[in-house]
Amino acid sequence: MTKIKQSAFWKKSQVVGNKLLELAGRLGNQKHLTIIRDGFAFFMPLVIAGALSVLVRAFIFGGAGAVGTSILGWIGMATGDAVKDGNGEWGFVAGTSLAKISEVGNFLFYQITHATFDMISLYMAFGLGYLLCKGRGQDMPLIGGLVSLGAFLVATFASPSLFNAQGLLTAMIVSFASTEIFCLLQKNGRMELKMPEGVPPAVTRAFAKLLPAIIVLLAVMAINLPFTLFGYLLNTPASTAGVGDSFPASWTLGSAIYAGIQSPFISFASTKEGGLGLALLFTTGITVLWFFGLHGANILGAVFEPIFLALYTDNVNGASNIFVKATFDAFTYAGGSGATLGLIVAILIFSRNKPERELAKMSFGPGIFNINEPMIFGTPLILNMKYAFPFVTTQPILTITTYLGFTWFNIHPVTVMIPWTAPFPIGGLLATALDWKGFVLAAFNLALSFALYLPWVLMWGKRTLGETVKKETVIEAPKTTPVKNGGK
Amino acid sequence: MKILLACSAGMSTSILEKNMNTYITSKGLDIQVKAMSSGDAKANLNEYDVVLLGPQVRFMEKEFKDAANGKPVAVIPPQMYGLMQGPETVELALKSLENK
Repeated sequence: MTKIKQSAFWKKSQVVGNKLLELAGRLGNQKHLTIIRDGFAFFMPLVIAGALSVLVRAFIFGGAGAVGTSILGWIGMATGDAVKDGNGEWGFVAGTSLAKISEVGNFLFYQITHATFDMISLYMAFGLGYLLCKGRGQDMPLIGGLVSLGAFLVATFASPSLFNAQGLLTAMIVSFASTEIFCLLQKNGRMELKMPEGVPPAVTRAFAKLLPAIIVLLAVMAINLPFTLFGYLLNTPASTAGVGDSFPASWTLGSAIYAGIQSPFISFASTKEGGLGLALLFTTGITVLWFFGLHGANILGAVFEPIFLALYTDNVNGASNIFVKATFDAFTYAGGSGATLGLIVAILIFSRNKPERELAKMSFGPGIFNINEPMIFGTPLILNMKYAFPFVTTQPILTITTYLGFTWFNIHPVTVMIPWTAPFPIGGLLATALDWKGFVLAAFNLALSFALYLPWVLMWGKRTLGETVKKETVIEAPKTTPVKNGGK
Repeated sequence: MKILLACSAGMSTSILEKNMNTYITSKGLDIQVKAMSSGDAKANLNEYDVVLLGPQVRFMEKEFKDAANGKPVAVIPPQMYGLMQGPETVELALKSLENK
């Protein structure tokens, strides 16, 4: 009987979530969005490496104006080699060995940041081309990745000004377009060159890519042509000597994509209100999707991640956007999607319901690292009207308090990309390059998530939910045949 | 037999991996389990016999089935997943391999 009940629950989830599921499924399965999602995921180790070197520069070498809160700075304060300037900011006395160590250390660690963040579009141009070729069943996706990178370089005149996050949209568009053409040209071996007998097959296969690669790069060049011509005719350089290698990057397709689409959008997103609006859309989307049992961050990530990553690299270069990629991890997740660490704590302290407590106990460890699938699927929080309100609203509310906290208390902008598994509220401290106010805000948000879940825990913790959990979860979860019911 | 577990980042499935391994060791079964992020999982499909997806990424079922060349792909039911039930998940893998 209970068996029926469980599959009834599962079916309910299918029915109620059907529309959303369909939309999410379409979003989650769309090939190019999937590839963007995977591409960013594969790039993450490099982003974290770049972020750690931001942290090392700030905390050890006093980079980016952080002398007052750095190890070298503290040594300098003790020895008198660091002094306050007119604005009350600490700095090293010029010419001292501490100043030199700081300068060299900063420069060296900056190289890691520079090689990762400031080149992100290069990595993406290669990675997206590679993944798309793979997805299209190409035999040597590596070549496709390289062709895609080449196409991106042609489209930007290989100008480093578009290698950073400014070139991200260009990288995506050019990479996908060129790779699609590249794959299309190879269909049915249309472009294969006939090789004499005895040539190793691997060589033949490599040559089969030759003509398509040439055509793709020529095509990108041709699309560049109008932009270059316009640029040239409108601002003819004073001297035409050596003209071929002195055209500015602004006369390219890549620059046009940046100026025409990405830049207006990012400037909207980097206004305070625009940033908050997008952030609320993102966090609400996450919790609503999770309410239907779908990985919200994963589904929406392909759309929102490029935006918040671009804003993040702006922060590394001195901007002060509140909502960047790591802001969400450091201040709104509080134990995972739906900010459930507060719920776990509330249950552990106040609930008298045994199964609920057992589950909370088991979920506490993973919850510290912002992993909360046990809570979400075990309680369950999915389609459970009893916790629906706090589950869906808490994370958006934390988004608003994060906004207010940054606005009112002048917290150091998020410049350090923390892994999303960084424990709350330490993540808040790390992400803001060790600003103690970041720690306080994250701790406040954690406490707030506790307060927001508490009334519901008190209301349901005694009986009703307990019975539900007992029936549906604890006793009868095993031995169902999930394969037939699952999925779809 | 080799079982591949996939969720968004391979984090929560790694808890399940641990529970499944406890069961496998206690029964002395010849089964290997590995948890991965969905991206890694898709790239390494070939080395495994059966793929189990976390319920939160069930929208990827089709994507995985397309890539799996007829290998069984199943979604772990939410209740089983929430309680991180190792033995039941091992049974699920065995069953979906049988039903194939």
